[in-house]
Amino acid sequence: MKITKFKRIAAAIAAVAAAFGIMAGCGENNDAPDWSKLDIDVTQAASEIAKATKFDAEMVDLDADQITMSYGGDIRSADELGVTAAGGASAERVIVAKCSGGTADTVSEIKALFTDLAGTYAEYAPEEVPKLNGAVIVERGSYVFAVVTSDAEGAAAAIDAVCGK
Amino acid sequence: MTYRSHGIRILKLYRSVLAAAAAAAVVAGSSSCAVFADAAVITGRGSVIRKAATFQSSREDSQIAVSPAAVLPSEYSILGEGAPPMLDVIDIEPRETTVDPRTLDPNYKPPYDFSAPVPELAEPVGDDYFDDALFIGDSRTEGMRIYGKKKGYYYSQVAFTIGQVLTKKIIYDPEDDEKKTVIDYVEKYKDVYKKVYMQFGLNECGGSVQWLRTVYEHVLETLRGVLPEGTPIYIQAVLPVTHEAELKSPYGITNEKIDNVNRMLAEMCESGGYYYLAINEPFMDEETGELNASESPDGIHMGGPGVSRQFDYIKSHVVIRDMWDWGDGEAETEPALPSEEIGEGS
Repeated sequence: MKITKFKRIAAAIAAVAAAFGIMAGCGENNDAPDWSKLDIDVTQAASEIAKATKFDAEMVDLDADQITMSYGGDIRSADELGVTAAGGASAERVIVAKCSGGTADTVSEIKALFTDLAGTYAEYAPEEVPKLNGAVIVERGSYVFAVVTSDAEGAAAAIDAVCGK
Repeated sequence: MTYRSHGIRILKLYRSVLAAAAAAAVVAGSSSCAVFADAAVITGRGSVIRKAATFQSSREDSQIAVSPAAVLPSEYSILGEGAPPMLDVIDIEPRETTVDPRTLDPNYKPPYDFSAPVPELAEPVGDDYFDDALFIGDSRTEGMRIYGKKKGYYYSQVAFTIGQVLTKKIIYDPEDDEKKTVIDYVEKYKDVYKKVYMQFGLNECGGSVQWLRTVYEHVLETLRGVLPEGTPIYIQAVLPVTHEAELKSPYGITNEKIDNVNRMLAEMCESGGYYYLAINEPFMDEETGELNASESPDGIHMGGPGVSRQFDYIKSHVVIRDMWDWGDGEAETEPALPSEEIGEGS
């Protein structure tokens, strides 16, 4: 009898604990951003990330024609591209891509582009290679953010900021 | 036609007059001082001689002919038999001044001189000049593309070399969904470009200048072959680098080597009929010939202000069709280009 009562009390405590656990879990899920609903202007996002990140060279927002000619052949899977980049011999750039069909292909394309650029820069301007190899690449919902900079921490914070985190 | 100044008697002015004249000439510009006395005589010797001297001196200072009349007191403006005693008269040997008779025609247009850099315009062209301009080049052209904020077509890449214009696929063509070489892309859209600006030589200046010329000429001839006849091609001189950039260059780039490349480019333009743009000159330190460190963040590539100056130079150094004589029938065979542009010779 006592044992049965004890089991009932233990079960009740376990149930309460489980309920708290579930509720706690739900609470966490509610705090996490739902990136699937993220909707941003890629051009504006690239520009804002560039402004909030430290770069060695002067950064400029590229227009649509420049982006198509320079990136259209390398980043084919993206629906939209926003790019802010440095001129001259600098490899620094911010790429924001919108990919409604999934981000995996775009991430692969961007990584391949940066690997290719690193090969070009290896002899031409070796100081740029670590920036390319250590580029910040983040996926958020249907967007990919890629930042070539020595200020990785600043870039990550800037990406969070434009995503509203 | 030859004008012979028979028995011109130079009237030597007294020191006081000379001093006053020289002082005035200094005001007009030091270069006019040397010919001032010559022009003063002409004032009193008739229109033919005045013309001869005018043409003779116009190479250096077109204001010379009018300086004496404006400077000398009126009583000395006409010098002749009744010259006042304060003037001495001396004789000099007759001399000949050859003048191209066509220069007497107010509508005269000189032939374009491909052996010289593109001369400066009195009034620069506007930014819309670049709307149909094609720029092909290396990272410095990349800087012009990004920092210049000028419309136009920029086919450039970091570490790009002149030979890669024909071989490296750097431009994405959305119509064919593939990357193309610059030459293939230019050929496909050849009617779009009304003038071409080339900027190469920095990435190649560590090697053989003769080899660079061979490759450059081959690329230019290929470009001419695909572009409409008469499309002007400008060759930009290689800009200097800073002293610090010389020291740390892994390719041994020096301003001396850049100068060698630029000499070659000028010769290439003369022999090939291309327009040589001495765009390096405003960026060279007068004493050292180096790029001023303030112009460039990395000692090689221009920042925004430097690129702006590059475009300003280009805008004020355009070959205008109507200013030059292009030879028999050449103008008539010109393709339909905007009226303010020149289309011959390149």
